[in-house]
Amino acid sequence: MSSARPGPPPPLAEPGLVLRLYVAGRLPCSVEAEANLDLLCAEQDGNRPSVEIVDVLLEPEQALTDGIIVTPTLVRLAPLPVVQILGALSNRRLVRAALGLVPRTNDDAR
Amino acid sequence: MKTTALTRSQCRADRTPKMPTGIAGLDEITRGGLPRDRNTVIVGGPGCGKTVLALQTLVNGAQLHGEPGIFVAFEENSRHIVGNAASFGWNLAELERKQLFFLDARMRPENVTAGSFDLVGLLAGTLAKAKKMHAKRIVFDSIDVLLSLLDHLPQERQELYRLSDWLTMSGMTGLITSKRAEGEPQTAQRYGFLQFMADCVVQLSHCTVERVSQRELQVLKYRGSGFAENAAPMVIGPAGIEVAHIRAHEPAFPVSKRRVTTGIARLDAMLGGGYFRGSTVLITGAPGTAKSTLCGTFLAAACARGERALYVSFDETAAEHVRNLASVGIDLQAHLTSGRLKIYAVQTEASSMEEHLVEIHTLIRSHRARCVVFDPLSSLFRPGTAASARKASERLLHLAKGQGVTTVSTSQLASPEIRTEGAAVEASTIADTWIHLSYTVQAGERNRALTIVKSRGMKHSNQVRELVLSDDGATLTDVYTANGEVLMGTMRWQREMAEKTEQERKRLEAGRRQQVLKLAAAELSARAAALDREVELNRFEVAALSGEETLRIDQLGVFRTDLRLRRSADRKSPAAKNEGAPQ
Repeated sequence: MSSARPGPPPPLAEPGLVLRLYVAGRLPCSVEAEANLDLLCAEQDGNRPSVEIVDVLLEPEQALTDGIIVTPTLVRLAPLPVVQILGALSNRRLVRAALGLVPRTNDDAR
Repeated sequence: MKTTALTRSQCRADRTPKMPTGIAGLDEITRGGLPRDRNTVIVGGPGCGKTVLALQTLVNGAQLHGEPGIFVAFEENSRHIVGNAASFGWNLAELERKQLFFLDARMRPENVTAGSFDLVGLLAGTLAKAKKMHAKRIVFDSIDVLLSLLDHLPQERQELYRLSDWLTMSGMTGLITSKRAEGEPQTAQRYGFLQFMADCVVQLSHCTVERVSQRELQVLKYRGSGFAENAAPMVIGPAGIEVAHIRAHEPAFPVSKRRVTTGIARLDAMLGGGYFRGSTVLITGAPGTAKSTLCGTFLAAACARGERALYVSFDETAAEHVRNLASVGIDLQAHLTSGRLKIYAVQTEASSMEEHLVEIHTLIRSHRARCVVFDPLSSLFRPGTAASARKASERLLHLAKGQGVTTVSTSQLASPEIRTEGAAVEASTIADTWIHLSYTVQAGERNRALTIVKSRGMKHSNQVRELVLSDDGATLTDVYTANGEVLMGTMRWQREMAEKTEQERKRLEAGRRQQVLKLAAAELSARAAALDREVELNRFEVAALSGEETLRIDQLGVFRTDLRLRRSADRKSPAAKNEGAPQ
């Protein structure tokens, strides 16, 4: 995971998945979202997505500029179109579907 | 921060700091405004005016009190909100540059919700902005959109608590709007909790009575402050929301003993000088009894004095009134041209009573009218709306009275009998002077009769008068009673003519008799003179006769003496000697 520094993600050689997760400090939903995102990223063995974490408590103005209403919010910046996923990402099947990730066969039920 | 004197004193009385909304009526109901640095929930169904109320509070705060504000729009595009506000004449573009900030917080439809979340993202971003612009007021419109995404009641509560705490911490006064749909258990529970959490709850409702929309505002709760608990009629007018609030204790009306003319000299005389300035006059009568004519004379007289007047006409156009009144010699056109008179024609069905009320009230103020006519006020009384119409008309008259405006209202009676018309009788309780016009049908014609039913605080005539309309205007004439019947119209005219002829006859007769008597007197005096002359003549004759007699007697004496002497029958008496001495 990259640092919390805002700004456009570094350009990739090949069209990979670029994600940004807005969290609110160590609030339960945000902690859960980070953990869930970690799991999802770990699934993608060969092609790990680029993930940036923004803490709205530290960067409130960026959250405002980026139109972040609820925390946590996961934003798929690339590939386009931009996709926003709200919540703690606990429904991983839904998250995978929204991000266009390949599901792990034995994790279908979760 | 600027607050009005009124607000400051009320705040002290309540000991709860208040934030004036600047909305007419609402600040009176809440005794100074919404609780400062706390949260107020505005609930109501769709289209009740929640957004307008919240936005108006924000705009007033910025414009009147120099308090910057933030508008968080969960539901509508904030650009649309700014656009809609322009229709109320609020220049948001100007305010937005410095004092207002609109945050578009709509959820995009393609967003996916995967798990629970909180509002910290929004609150953190907004707080940063609020600190930067020193915002004092914030609106969340409407929170239920966001809460329904959570789809979990305990979480909703948690987020509402978070919001409430955040408001307290941020030093801003919060207005949170929320839809309330009937029959949804979810919204009912949410609403219950919102009501519990909020420091102040304002409920807006909207219903349709007889196809006419009616809006109401009611404060349900206000921690730490008293408030007017009744639902108050509300209008979304051309300049935003206005709330009609009637105080339990009406402020003392300016009471005047000065009179204003009715425009008809003889009616003035019947009232002992005219209507009282600032009083409420009610004219009742069946259709066509010349109620509007009495209104016309009143207004024309007011304008002729140089006063400003307003003619509020229900269901008749201005042109019609001008034409109709011109036919009886009342020229309103000249006063319209001079700008002293304004005719406001209202289509009663077009909008709700409350809207009419607000518009008329605004017009009275803006035109600075001193004399106002509502013709016919009874147009407000439509079937099924009697109660609200009565309230509305009472408020209308009270508002006018409160400003010292003299009002003349007409009320159409379906029945010629006064007592059968409930509405008029109810309206009459506010009226200071009640004039009733009726028809009398006699000898195949209708005539207008005018009666003063009551007139508070002034001596007034108990006489029935006939109201006569002519090209030169309206006048009142005496009526005749003959054999216990009141005579009017041509019967009165006949009676008048008969009386005139009789008078003439009597006059001529008297003249003739005078002449006869004069002649008789002349004759008598002539005769008296003749008699006098006769008496005089007689007297002369008497005198002459008596003279002759003396002479005769004397001469007789001398003759006898002479004779005796000549006869020498007697000695010469001394007298005879004397007499006979020369001989």
